[in-house]
Amino acid sequence: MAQCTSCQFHNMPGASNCGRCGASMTLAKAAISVHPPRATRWAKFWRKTFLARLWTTFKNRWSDVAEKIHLEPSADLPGMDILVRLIVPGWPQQISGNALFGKCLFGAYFACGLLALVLIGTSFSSFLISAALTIHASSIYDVAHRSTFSRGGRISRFFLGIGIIGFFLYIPLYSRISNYASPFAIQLDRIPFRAGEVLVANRQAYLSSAPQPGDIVTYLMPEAEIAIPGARYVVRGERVDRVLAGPNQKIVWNDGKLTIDGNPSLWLPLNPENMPEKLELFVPNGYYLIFPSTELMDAQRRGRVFSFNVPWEKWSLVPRHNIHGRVYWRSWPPLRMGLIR
Amino acid sequence: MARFDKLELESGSPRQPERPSKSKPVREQVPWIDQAIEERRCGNYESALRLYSRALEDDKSLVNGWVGQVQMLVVLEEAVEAELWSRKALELFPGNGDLLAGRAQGMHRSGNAQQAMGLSDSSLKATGQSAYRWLVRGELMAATKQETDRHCFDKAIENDKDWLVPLEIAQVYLRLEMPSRALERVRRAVEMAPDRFFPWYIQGETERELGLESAARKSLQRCLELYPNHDEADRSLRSLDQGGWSFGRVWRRVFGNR
Repeated sequence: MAQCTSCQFHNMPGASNCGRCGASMTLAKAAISVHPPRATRWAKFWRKTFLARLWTTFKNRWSDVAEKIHLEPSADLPGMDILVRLIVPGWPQQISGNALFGKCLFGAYFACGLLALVLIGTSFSSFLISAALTIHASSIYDVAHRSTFSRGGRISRFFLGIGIIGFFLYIPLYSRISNYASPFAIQLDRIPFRAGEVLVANRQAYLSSAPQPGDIVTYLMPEAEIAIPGARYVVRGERVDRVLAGPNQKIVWNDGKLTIDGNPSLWLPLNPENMPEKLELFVPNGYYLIFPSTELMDAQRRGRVFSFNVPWEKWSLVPRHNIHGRVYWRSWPPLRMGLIR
Repeated sequence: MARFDKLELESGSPRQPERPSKSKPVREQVPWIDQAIEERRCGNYESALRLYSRALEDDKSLVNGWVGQVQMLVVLEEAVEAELWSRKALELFPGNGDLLAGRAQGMHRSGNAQQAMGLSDSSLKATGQSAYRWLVRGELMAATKQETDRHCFDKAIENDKDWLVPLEIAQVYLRLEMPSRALERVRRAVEMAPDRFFPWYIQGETERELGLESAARKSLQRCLELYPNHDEADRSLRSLDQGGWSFGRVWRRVFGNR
């Protein structure tokens, strides 16, 4: 009877492996190296460092996650059902039995995308958009990686997927979003806005509907010349302020109160402090009343401040085609982020 | 007639047929293992590792040799290599409980506690019993701050009455920075083997960790009495003499004779 050295089981004579534990019975003289691998002094030193421990923890956690989400290739060609779902990151993974990985991809993509939209127009937003695109690319690569064992095949399928998704999804999406969420930065302190703030405007808002009183809009200010001693300024460019009245309406501004056709208005300009005490205007057809209350009411030259006569009538009546879009969101700074009303 | 019988060889003598060799009986190879264990008892883990390898050169079917190698690699802070080596050994002895425990210990010390726990479960489910499996289990429990570590270590001692077991438990506790628990175990090892220097040395180190300087000094001195050439004990004793501040120490340093 031959006894197994591992489990002490008595096997039949001539048995090559232990009947209980499977250990080799002919191991004694087998040609196997019996000298274990050794760590170098440097390796031992490195393993004791904080960074090495951190790296090991990360590696182990990742291997646990990778085990759960099955990252091994299966060599099955993806079906049409998977290819169609490439449009949403994580969706192909969800339906191919890799739900956790799919959820992780979609969750990360959604979070990055949402945050990028909230912070649109800032450098953080650009970073987050890049991250979201990378996650989508990872989802596509995962499908390409699983579809074949060939390296060339994986690369070509990956780039094909990226090209198709980029052409049919992201280019149209970009053109739409850039119209509905067009960011611009405020260059100078203009109450209630501050220099450096990023506002978001919808440039499509007035393509099919007319501006309404109360809307805060971005518009092209009617050009006007300002003369101060020793200098002449030309004021022009885009400004942000509130639409107060529409065409064919008569407005009276009296001591901080606005009446339209004799009725008191709910709306005030963005910075009523800048307004004159009294003003009466009639809005002609095709024009809208927008007081340039955020405009600077004085000019500086060689350290001296000069007040000038504001041409209210000229500046306040804005042709409809000069109203470019509705401003609805302040994306920067984070503490002042929110809807603009 | 054999095929090469008519070849002309330089010696001119006909080739002698080889003696039928018998493999050495297991009893003859065991001394390497015994020597390795003896080296372990003295804390010479490098030598123990070499002796285990030497034993395996003679007979690769000695499971104790493989297990010993893994244990020594772990003690020598080469947990990654221990894990790798135990995996190789497990290919030769699938499901061996001690090797599974060795792999669990290696994996745990290289930072993968979750898988280590799974392997420890498998090692306890494997056939047979051994102190080492419970020792590893106890280490995993102690590392995760679970109170069951005491129970596991007690089971280890129940399985093997050798003083090396409580000593190795104390070393585990020391590694996990639990010197008060280590002291309890190492005292037991010292009681069991008062004539061996290594338990005295570990006891001295444990007491030093706990700040029991006079006790540590006594233990280290006892270690040096039993083995005067013990460098580590000598160094620890000297650092005890030099470390800290007291009026008596300063007096001795300035006026006392060396």
